[in-house]
Amino acid sequence: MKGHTDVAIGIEHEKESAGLFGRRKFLVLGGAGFAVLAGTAGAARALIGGPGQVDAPRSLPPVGLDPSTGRSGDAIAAPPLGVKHFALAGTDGWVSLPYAGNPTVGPDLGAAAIDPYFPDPLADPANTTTYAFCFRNVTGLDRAQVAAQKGHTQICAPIFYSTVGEEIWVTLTNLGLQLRPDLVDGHTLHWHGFRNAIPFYDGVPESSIAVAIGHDFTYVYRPQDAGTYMYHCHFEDVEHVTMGMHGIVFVKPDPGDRVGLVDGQQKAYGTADGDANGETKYDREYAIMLSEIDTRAHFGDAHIQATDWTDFHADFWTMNGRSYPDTLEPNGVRDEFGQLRAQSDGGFDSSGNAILTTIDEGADPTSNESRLFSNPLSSLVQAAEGERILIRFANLGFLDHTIVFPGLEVDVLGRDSRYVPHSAQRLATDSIQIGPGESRDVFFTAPKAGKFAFYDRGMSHYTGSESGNDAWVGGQRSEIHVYDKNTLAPQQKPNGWAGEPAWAGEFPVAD
Amino acid sequence: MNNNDNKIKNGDAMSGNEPTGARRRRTKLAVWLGVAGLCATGASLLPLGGHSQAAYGDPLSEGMECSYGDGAPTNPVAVRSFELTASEGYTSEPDGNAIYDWSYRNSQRNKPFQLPGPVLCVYQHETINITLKNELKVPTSIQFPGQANVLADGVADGPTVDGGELVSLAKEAAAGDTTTGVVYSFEASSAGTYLYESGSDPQLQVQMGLFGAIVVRPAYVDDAGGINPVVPSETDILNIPWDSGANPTDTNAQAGVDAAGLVAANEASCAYAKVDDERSCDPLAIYSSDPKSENILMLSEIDPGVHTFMEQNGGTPANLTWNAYPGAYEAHYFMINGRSMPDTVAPNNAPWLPSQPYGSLAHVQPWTPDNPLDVMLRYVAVGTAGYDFHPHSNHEHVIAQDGALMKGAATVDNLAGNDNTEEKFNIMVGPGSTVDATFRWTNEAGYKDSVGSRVPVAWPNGLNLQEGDFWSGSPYLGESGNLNPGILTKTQCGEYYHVAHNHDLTQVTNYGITFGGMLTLIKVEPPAAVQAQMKTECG
Repeated sequence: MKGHTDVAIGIEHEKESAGLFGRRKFLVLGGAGFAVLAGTAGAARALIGGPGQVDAPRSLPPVGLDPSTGRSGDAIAAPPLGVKHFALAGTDGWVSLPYAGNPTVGPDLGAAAIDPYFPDPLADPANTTTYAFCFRNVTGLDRAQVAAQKGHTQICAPIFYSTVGEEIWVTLTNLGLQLRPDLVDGHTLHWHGFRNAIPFYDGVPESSIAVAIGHDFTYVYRPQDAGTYMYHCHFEDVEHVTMGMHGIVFVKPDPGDRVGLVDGQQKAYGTADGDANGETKYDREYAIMLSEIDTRAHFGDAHIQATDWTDFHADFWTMNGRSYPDTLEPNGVRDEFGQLRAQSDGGFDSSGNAILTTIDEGADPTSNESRLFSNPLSSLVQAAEGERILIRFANLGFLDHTIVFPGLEVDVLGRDSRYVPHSAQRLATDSIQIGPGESRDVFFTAPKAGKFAFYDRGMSHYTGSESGNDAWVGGQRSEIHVYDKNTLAPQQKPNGWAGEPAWAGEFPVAD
Repeated sequence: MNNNDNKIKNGDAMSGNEPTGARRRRTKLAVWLGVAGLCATGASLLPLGGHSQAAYGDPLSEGMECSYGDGAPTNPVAVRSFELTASEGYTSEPDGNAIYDWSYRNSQRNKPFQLPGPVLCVYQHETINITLKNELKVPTSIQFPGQANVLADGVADGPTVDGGELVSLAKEAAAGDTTTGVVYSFEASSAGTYLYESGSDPQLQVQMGLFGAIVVRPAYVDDAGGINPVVPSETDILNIPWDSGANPTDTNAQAGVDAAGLVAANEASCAYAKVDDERSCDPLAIYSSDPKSENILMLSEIDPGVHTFMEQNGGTPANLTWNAYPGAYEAHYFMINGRSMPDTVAPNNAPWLPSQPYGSLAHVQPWTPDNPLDVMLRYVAVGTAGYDFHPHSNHEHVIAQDGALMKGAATVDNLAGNDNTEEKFNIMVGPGSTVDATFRWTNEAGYKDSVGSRVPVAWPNGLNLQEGDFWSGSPYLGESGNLNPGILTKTQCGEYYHVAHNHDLTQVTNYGITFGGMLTLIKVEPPAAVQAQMKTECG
């Protein structure tokens, strides 16, 4: 990975960040630039190999691959925008829900204990509350670094995205479960909603293949249709999904299609998707995954107890793997795809833990940033007055959710990755209903500066704080912060990753 | 036609005759018996209800199996009559549990208990008579959501009230009334998919299984007063959009489809006429006439606590307190057409599921100009909550809801008319609602096992992977590969299997055990031309 030459073929490159990022996380590869990564392709090999393998690049090109492209010589031709390669690892670990007894949360913003399930007695009382397992982004890590991620999970899974005309490779490594060596569960990647899928890349273990512990497998997607999708593990799906293995993936239209856009804008759907005049244009985009957590089930998985999934009763409702008020906290110390920022600077200690101090100088080790280390995805939406904002919602919980936007008028211009035009039948609304496995693309124009809440209308979906001072604790609630015109730097990445370093008040807060 | 309720007309594989297709079905039976090994229903050990639990006795088939009553299956009649008898019996769950249920048996054909009730297929504008008899120990009735002007014994039907207290939502057949019963009648005024269900104590009786579906096929009344089916014309077929995604304006016409040939061979069926022309078919509502291309998915759930309570109380609800009967309502089994996965993929009339005659395995062959007609899926949500149903492998095109095509008539301002149909990767079927959707699968990526068309990554060593029972061993349609020792694949000809399931994943379980419940499979078969060259049949 180090020192590879990146050869672009007709696509805008991600810029090498000057500051925090010493290493490219988001690879747009083509031609010779693909060579070094290519080795991981398609090979299901033992991850933890023999002598000499530990420090090598993640793997060498297997027999049959063209070493200059990483592509098997008899393969279908690469699409016009080339190949993009991600790597995910499935593993377990500990995550944080807002608990009153945690000193950084407190009884006014935290939920009361649910004995014995929450917080889990095996959790680190300073930071975490709940056992989980999920995908981690390990793109660009070498084999030893990937292996070191075992036991360091996050919820929910990293957001990743693609463009029509690219070929996406996602190498999935199954690291096994550190706390549950008795489980030999495979993992898979199911891109939910991918059109005209073949079973080989659909990730249903019963009708396809699954990745065994210690192995990896590369899934390939050639997306043709823009839109908001989701991905999840399909192995023993009810358990693996609710334990955390679900995330958002979205596809952008042909970047050459600029109909209806001004500089700095993008659009969710292109002319080929039916949006012929740029109705789905936006200045900033956010992706928010809706789900629920039944702490009894998470406790059961940590304590080797089976769960009757038909007896599922959620007690926390989440946006991007966090419950209110954590939803408002900035993105965590990982990159836009959930990868540890630290790996580019400080690397890992002998236990595989990221060395945080090098990027967080002066950070309070008991801060929310530290506590939410494994819940890295914020749901705070930032906008400047007059901007067009897109929020991509997906629901991989088990319940219907109705998200309301009091004080705002929102257009739902995408449903299940399909463009639906504003029309006589589809007027603006202030609430969206979204069922399990559905997605919605919600647009609005930011009004004048102020704060707006958006939340699940299911009022019983909030546990409330221990002290009773905040009834919203534990649920799906977040906020839209609107700033004055021209006071917010342009968005560089979805959800404000990397492009907006000043989450915590560099911009004037309206109230 | 009195005793011919079946769409399959070319012989009975178990009859001893050897008409065309018999050998083929026998092959399939053997395969499905292999699948049935998973099911282990122990059906013959079930305690019997009041009626024979003998096998349903009709030939194995796939696709929606219709009951046509006393009328012809192939053309409309003025009056079409059915007789149903509410009765009790047992169904089996894949984990071996036997569930005591109530449902409607087809007493017109002297058939035993079945769940759900028969799928009543009728034509628009026919007068439908349904006689309900009752072998239960409680009064029961049928209500017909979506049907207008229903008569019961010749009088306008509606809620019955006794001394100001609501008795039922429709006229009842008394407990044990197996002779006279009640005759409901109505004109099937609109095409579409509908539910019928008990109108008596419906919270309990629908949960117990008293429900079924009515499918009304489009027809119109001609100037002479005759009822004529709506048949897709050559023009209608040419106007089917063939890829409304990347090419929103492209149609079968531009793809070079031989629509005249399809019409001549009677290969296209119609689900809905155009909103402004009752005599011609809406292009979005055209689907293949192959019986395996039309599917119904009645989605329901069971709380075994309720059923056990009723069984132990001798089939009467005395002392049943719904919200604390004991313990509040909580469903643990989730069904498509009364079966849970893996039973869902067994054929219709599988003898090892004697009282659950309807399967839901969907068949599709890749869309090509030679195979341009879609598959039709008719969803009916029977439970008290909606279900979010997710077909893998492609979106479905939702064309109708509650028996209404989601299109508007042309207006002065909008000559094309509003089109509110939409492609969805998740089909929301609200409680008591129906949704009709078409489905196709296109080999869009074009992967084939030939140089220049293979998957781009190196072939992994299978020994390092975990392989599933419905995996052929090859990424390529129509190819089979080596499988790991111990894998007994259920594939026959390199076909693909994709799952289609409720996405409340807690309901894709059998009492919490995964890969069960409200899940079925979509079988993507190799194209007919490829199958023709195969030594193995694709079923």
